[in-house]
Amino acid sequence: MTEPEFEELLRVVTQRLRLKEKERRELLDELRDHYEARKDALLAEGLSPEDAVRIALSDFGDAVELSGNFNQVTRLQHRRFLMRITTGTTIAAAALLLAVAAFFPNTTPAPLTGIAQAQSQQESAAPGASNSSAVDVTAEVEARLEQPIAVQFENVPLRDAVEFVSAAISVDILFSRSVLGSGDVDEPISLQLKHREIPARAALDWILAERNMSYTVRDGIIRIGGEDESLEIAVYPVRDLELWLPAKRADRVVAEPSAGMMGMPGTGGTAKPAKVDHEPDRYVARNLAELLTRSVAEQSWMDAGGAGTVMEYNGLLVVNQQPKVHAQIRKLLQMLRAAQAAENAAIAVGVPSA
Amino acid sequence: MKSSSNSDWMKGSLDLMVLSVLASGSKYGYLLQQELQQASGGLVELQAGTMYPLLHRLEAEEWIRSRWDETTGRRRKWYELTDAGRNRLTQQAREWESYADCIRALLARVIDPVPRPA
Repeated sequence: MTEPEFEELLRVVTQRLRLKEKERRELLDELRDHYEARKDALLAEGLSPEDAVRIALSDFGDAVELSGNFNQVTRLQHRRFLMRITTGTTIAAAALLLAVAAFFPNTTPAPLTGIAQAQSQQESAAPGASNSSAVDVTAEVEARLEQPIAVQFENVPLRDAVEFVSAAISVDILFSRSVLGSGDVDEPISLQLKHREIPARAALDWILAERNMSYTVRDGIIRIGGEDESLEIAVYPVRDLELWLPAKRADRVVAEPSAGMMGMPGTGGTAKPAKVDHEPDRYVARNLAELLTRSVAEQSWMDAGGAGTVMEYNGLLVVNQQPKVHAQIRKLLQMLRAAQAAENAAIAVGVPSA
Repeated sequence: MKSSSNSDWMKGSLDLMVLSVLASGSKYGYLLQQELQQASGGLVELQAGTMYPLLHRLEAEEWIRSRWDETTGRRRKWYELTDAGRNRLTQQAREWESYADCIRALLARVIDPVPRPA
């Protein structure tokens, strides 16, 4: 390892931590100071520069471990802060989940309607109609990933395990440069399976999860990278989920709802003009953001030491996450929409027209 | 830390070890690491990757505080005990002593058993 690799370690660590600029600079200064002091001492002991650098670097462990250790500190502080201000929000989220579970104990996938437009972080142009062949190729790879394959892993290096999957489904799988550079691909995986048939996708997920790696499918090729490298941005319109607003729910039960509001049949009450106010939208989005980080892939979010982020933007949810987490988010939103539709129907039946 | 068999015991007492090294005066991270190793007869090798998050946590809990020094030409962060940290160290040291006495008394019988009466 060389010194630029210590800078690379610092870069990855600070990227994974949500720090203010001053905190980031101070952390860098402190760790650099330690590294230099340790290296100088080793050189003074007569070690070669290469050995001094290697030993000084090993003192910090790897970037994931180090940022994880720091994150435990910030998570502790963040949790205390969250507990103070979000008790109400948590209760609302729990009630929401209960409602979903009550209505749909066994959810079946429904057609996606206007949920997300995933777009690769690296590509600025959205895949349009002209790109349909690329979409077809990607869909073909996705389908092959669902094929069951007979997995036989026993103390095999990550590279061999991935090549096995690649050969089994006849799809090229490439490692990103940073993953190859880490040397991690030659380490044996701890997963041991013999004579088990599982979907290729599950095999890849298992193999990669233990190394904090993930994959993306693009142009007919599966690309494996660190979790940070596999992130995709998606925007989720969630304004239609406003039934979960406490005020709206109270309106429905206590007051008379506006006619045709949110596609619900009017109940014959006095129709109130819809108030143009973005705050309720933002409330819904913020609540959903909280719900997502607590109920979907909890460890993958930045507050928990992962790389995923979620932001509320004018009532929209902007999520930067791994593809598999996006899939879970889409499923959760489907469930919420289905639950909302069911509740609308129940209210429409339960509240007699005047 | 050196020995894996000892590491579980040490994990639970790392806070106490770091606070005790700081009891003799303020230190920066590297110095603290070296003093801890020397004071423990080479038994405790606290890695930087473990030590700095631990120091930041102790600081967040206000057992220690830090200040930056730039007079030596190298920007360096020094840690020292707060009054609360010193009180905690004293209290924990007492608790640890009585616990160690108890374990020592119990283990003495294993290492050097009292001969059974004939």
